[in-house]
Parts: sequence; C-alpha cells; structure tokens
Amino acid sequence: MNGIRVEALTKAYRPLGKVRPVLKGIDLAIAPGEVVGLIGPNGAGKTTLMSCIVGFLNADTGSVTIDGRSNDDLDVRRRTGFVPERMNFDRRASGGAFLRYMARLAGVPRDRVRPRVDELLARLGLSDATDKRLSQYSRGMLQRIGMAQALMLDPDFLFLDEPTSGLDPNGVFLVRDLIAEEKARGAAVLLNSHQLAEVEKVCDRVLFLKDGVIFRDEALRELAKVTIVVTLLAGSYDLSTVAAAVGVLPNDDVIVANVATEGDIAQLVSRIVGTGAGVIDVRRRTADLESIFRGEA
Amino acid sequence: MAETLRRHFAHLGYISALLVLIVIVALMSAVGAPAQAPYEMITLFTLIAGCQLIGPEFSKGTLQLILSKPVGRSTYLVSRVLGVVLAIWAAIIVMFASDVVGRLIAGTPINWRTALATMLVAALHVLLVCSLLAFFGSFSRSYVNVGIYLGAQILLSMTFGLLSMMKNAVSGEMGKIGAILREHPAVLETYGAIHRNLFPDDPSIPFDRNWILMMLCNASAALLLACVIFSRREVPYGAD
Repeated sequence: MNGIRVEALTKAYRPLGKVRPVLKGIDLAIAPGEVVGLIGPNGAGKTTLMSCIVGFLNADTGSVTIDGRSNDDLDVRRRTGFVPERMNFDRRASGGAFLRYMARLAGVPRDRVRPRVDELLARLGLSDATDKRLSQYSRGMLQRIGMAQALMLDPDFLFLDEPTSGLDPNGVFLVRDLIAEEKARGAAVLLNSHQLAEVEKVCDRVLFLKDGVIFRDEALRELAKVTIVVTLLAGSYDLSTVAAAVGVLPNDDVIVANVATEGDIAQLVSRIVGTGAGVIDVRRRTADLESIFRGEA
Repeated sequence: MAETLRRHFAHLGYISALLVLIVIVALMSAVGAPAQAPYEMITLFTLIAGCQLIGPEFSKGTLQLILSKPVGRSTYLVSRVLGVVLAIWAAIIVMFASDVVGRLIAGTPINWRTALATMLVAALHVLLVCSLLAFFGSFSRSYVNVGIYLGAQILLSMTFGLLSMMKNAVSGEMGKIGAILREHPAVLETYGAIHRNLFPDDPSIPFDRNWILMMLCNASAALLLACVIFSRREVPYGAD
C-alpha cells in the first residue's frame, strides 16, 4: 500500500477577485503506519492543506494522491476517515442514529450496521449515550462520536482535525490510544492540532507550516535529544578549564549542553566535577515541540 | 434519500404543516371549492422544504462530513432532491385523500379525472421547483436558493411584461426599443420561453402530454446542471 503523497501543491483564495495565496508549494509524503502532526500558527494554512488532501478544496496546481489514486476516488474515500474540528449535524438525531446514517453512507452492509455502530460506541465509551440526542452531547462526546464515524470502515488513511479539542483527560487518553491502534494497524494518520504536547506524544513526525510553506519537517526522535542544565557553585571553577572539559562555556554559572542519551548525563557531570568545579544542581530539559514552535513560529 | 425522508417525517414543522393542510383541504372540499385550490399551498410547502436542500448543510459544515464518505456528490444531491420530493408527494397524497374524504362527507360530487390530473400537476410542480432549488443551491449558500428562485420569478415576470409593453411603443426612447423588439421577435419569444419553462403555468387540459414532458425535461436539466456544478464545488469547512 502506498501512502499519502502531496506534490507542489498551491492554493489561493480569491475574495472579491483579490488573490490571497495560502499554500505555496507543499510537498509531503505520509507512509502507511506513520502518524504525522501538522502544526503552525493560526492562518498558516493547516486547515486548507487538510481540506485539499481530503478533497474538499481543489488545488490550484500540484497533485494529491492517496495510495496512488486521486483523492476523490470513491475507493479511496472508502478507505479514508475524517474527523472535523467541530461536529455539525442534525442535533435532533441520537448518537446511535447518526452513526447508523454514517455507516449506511460508508457502505456498511445493512445487517452489519447495528453491530458495527454498537461496537464503535462501546470502543469510544459512548454506549450509555446511544439514544441520547446529539444536542445533549457535550463537546467532548461530540468529538468522540466524530472519531467513531471516522473509524467506521477501519480506514487506511485517517485525517484528524483537532481530535482532542474539548476532551477531558480520559477522552484525550482514549484518542491517543486509538491513534496508536490505528498506527499499529498500518493506517497513515495526519493530525492537525494546536496541542503540541499531544502531537509530541502520538506523532512520528511533525510538519511545521508557516505562511503556506512547510519550513520544518522533523522526526520527533531527533527532537527528543536530552538537554542538560548544570548549575555550578560560583567561584568554584575556572571558566576555560570547564569549557575545555565539556565543550560549552558556562554562562552566569550555568552550563546548558545537549547529550545524545541519558547515559551521557553522568559522564558530562563527572567531567565537570573532574575540573574541580562545584556542582549544585543538574536538571534535564527535553528539547520539545513548544521550544521549537516558540523559536520558529 | 431515506435519511431525508426520516428527517421530514420526524420534523415537527412538517407534521404541523401537514395537519394544517389536511384541515384546510377537508374544509375547502366540504364547501365545494375547486379541486386545484388546496394545491396552491403546496408551492409554499415546497419552497420551505426545498430551501434546505444544500445551502444550510454547506454553511453548517455538515456537508464535509457526508462528502468524506464514499458517496458520489451527484448521487448524494439527487437522493437529497428525491427525498424532499417524496416527502412532499406524501403530503400531496394525504391532501388528495383528505379532499376525497371531505367531499364524501359533505356529499359534494367528485370529478376523479380532474382530481387526479390536479394531483399530477402539483406533483410535477414539486419536482421542478425542487430541481431548480437544487440547481440554485449548487452554487449558493444558506437559504439563498429560495431568494434566487423568487427573485428570478419576479424579475422575469416584470421584465417580460415591460418588454411586451415596449414592443408596442412607437415614439421616443421606448419607441426605439420597441422597434428593436419588433425587428427581432426572437428576443421576446426567448424571454417568454425561459419564463414558461422555469415557472410554468398549469396546463389548460388535463394530462397534457407535452406539458408533462416539458416538466420532466426541465426538472432533469436543472438537476443535471446542479450535479455538474456541485461535483466541482469546493466545500471548505467552517464555511460561514
């Protein structure tokens, strides 16, 4: 199975004839079994990019292929799950009725509709709310039922737009587990989220989108290198000796150094102590998405 | 289609409107009103039901959820139109039944041929109006399709009347336009044909085959155009 491939995608909006470019040549590929996060400031073009990939918007130039086919191919749709940021549907319908309708649209065989819906409701922890109207659902419940409809046919390609928005911690854990399950099943997942901590936990790779271009494509393993902050006892050390031992010049009695593994921490501290410097504090800081986002956004 | 029907049949507005129509029809038939009189209200009923064909779903963002499923856009649009048409046809059948019952109770005579022809005319009007609303909805948002429908009806009627009047003028600026219209009668004929095709009057004879064919052709053309436009239409989410 091929994954999702976007090549040289451009898209501009034309309000009142005025051209406003939103996507300026996007290239990306998501392999089966890969979870990719899409982050960036408001107005960066994240929603537009996802809309172009799912097929709600037409790209001006460039191409989108899903498993080597056009994104509006019905067979591709059958293998695609989409969770919108906000669930807008006939609020008078019950959760069960909504999912049954979605199941029929998805082409679930008539005799399989009810068992499949019950299965999904149970999986998303909504069994007790089957007969409740959607108008009585909380934001978190709506998000979960949105997730349920997307998983109707065990999709190979999953597009999630802010799936944890409005969810309580249990809901967040549930969505996290579901994404992990879908990844394990081999689904390619594109996650659009502002919740950097969540992206960091579930994604293999993250795309930073800004001003319509992907300006950073980071594998999260590389981001997770360990940063150590060592505080020295003032007056206990010689600046140049310590700098020579660890390769970093102390600044205001503080050394900030990157190490590849946790095992390297002890070695670093031992080298500092070996110069005769007094160490009063050692802290570990992960180079997280937030620091990168702050630096780049 | 089934979902559209379910939504209509479960809608309090639909049920209340139907009950009101039944009562009105029964009363009108009891006093011997012409068979076609109650069906005039069906147009209003059709506009109310048909205005929700695409626009509101587009604006609320429901459409994106539906279009993410393996359903062809044209299939979806046609089934939505058929759902609304069937829901109103059901109302027409109920109205027909209450008309018959009303006349039987009041002892007024029933002209079956006229009654059935009237019902058919109403049913075909519903089909055309819904197809036109789908067409107007395929490129507009919210309830704008009804605005376009009513606006076009008023505008066409007014301009057709105005042009017909100008055609007879012989002096001044009006006379110049009149001369052009007399020289090119096709202009007025085309205008009239558009008006007759989009907003046709009832046929003068019952079961007029040409009229039935025209209604079916026009509804099909409107639906086809709606499908073509809708299949390429962008549906950004959070549209409004």
